[in-house]
Amino acid sequence: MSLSLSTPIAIFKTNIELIRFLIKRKTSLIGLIIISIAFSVSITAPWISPHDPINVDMSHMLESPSSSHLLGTDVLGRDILSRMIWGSRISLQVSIISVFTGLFLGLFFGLVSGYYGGRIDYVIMRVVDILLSFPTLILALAISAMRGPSMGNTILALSVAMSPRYTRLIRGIVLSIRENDYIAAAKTSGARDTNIILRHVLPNAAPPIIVQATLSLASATLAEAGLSFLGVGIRPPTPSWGNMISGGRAYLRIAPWISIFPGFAVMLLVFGFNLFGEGLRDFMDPRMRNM
Amino acid sequence: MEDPLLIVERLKTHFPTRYGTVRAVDDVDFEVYKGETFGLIGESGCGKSMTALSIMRLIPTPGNIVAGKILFKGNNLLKISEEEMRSIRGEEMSMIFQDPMTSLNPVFNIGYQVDEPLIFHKKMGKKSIVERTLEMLGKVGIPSASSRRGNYPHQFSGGMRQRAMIAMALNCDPDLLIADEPTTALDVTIQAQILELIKGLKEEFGLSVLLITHNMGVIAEMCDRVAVMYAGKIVEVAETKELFEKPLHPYTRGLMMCLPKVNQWQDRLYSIDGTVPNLVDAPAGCYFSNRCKQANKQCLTEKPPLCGEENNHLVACFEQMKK
Repeated sequence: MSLSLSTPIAIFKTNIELIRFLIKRKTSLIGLIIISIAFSVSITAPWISPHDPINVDMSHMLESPSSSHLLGTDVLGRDILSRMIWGSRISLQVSIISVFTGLFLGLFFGLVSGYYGGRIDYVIMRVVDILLSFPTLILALAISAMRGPSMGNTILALSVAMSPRYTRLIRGIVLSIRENDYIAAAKTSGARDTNIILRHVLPNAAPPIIVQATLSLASATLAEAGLSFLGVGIRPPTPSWGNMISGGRAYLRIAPWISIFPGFAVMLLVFGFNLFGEGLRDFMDPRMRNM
Repeated sequence: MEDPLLIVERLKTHFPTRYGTVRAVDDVDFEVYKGETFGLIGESGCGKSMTALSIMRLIPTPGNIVAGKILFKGNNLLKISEEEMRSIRGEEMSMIFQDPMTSLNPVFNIGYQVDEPLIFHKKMGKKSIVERTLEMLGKVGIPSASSRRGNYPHQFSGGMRQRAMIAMALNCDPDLLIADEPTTALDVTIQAQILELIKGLKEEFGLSVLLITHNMGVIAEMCDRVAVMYAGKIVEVAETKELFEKPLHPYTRGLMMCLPKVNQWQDRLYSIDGTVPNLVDAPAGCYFSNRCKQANKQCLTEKPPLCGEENNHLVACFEQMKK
């Protein structure tokens, strides 16, 4: 079959339409702006960061925000603003890549499990149960500790640790969608299983999955911080918002800016992801689109 | 009459449950001839829809077809591979459902969904598919089809959705249309329109229709022949006129008496006493025996076979066999 034949699903509709929709809604627009800022900052990091993020300068240690160091310096005299700018790269990369990888795993297992049911479903769900019996962070910690600290391993650990939640969520959604008459109608008109799963089940399952994914971007960012704090995530001196927050923990009373600014950045990014996700969800539901 | 298009022979569809096996379809025999509208009537849960889904080979789990034959154009559908079955679905036989509110996918526009059977079965270019779909949408009575094509199901009314479903079902020009209570979810005026539409399209496309319903009026309006189903079994088969004039099975008679009559005053509508037997441990004899006023000893111990000679009028009742 030709996939290019009429493209009815909103997700695949022209991006222009999506962007227009998101701009029209104020909340989505704010989300879009925050995310765009985060992205442009991380892309242009080498040019816009005022200082070297790794260079130690003991003569300026623990300085409060001033004109030379806009957001102050940490215990090694490194510029907080520069470290945050460079750290945005790590935070964005780790959270986005791990959420997408986790989502991909969850989609595969969730769709198969929910659509086919029976024995496959039973096996997949028991494995998910086992994985879910560990808190996400502990599981990620175990995987990270096994493979050693690096960005790749942090992403791997987070995606594996998050995938059971997606699998379960997606399976549940698929189970309810599977019972709809339009699935039966697609079957009676001779559709293949793969076609039904990808063209009929997935688009209907998309809204809650996207909401879950945007929320997970937040928890992934936090989980990355947690792993970095415990020494199995992103290793200093490479800056990530996570290890900056934990690095400033000891100086919270005398130099709160070390932790507060990266913390604020995390919060803002999470907020942006959520607003953006909400807009995306409404766009994908044709009933909400004209509101 | 010509050779039948569809022959269902001793079809048994069972659902294993933790309480025992439910015989949803139990030894069902009937045939649908070319160009005929064959009605299947019965109350909720008597196995009408399961019969239809068995023909489509789309029984929901854990059900399965344990015995019987379904001959469609001479091919036994229970013997062919899933791949062959898929090429028959939508192309040679298709189905419309009870509730047009849920039988269209909310995330696709109408045009695409009506296109779909053509995409699956026909090697046609995009242009000719769209043309064909527009033609079909026009035929089922959707006005200004070219602009309505891009609408989503929620922008269609119930009747319009059912029209779109019919367009989708007939887009590949199938030989058999299975209509599973196509008008139950619609209001009365729309029901009449949809029935008229199916009638008209049947003539135009030379379709055979297997019409499932629990509405005697729909049967009277639409069907050439009727089978009455009760508790997974067919209890009576006759031509529509014959069935209404001379119902033989006590259950059919009961159904007829349940209909309100226009020309006489009734305080209460008649109802058949008792309930459908539990199909898990079904009675040994006739399934209707516990509700039947004429039931005798034989009825309680043996199952009456479906037989009869006159006017192709078959009935499964010992009382009638004696006559």
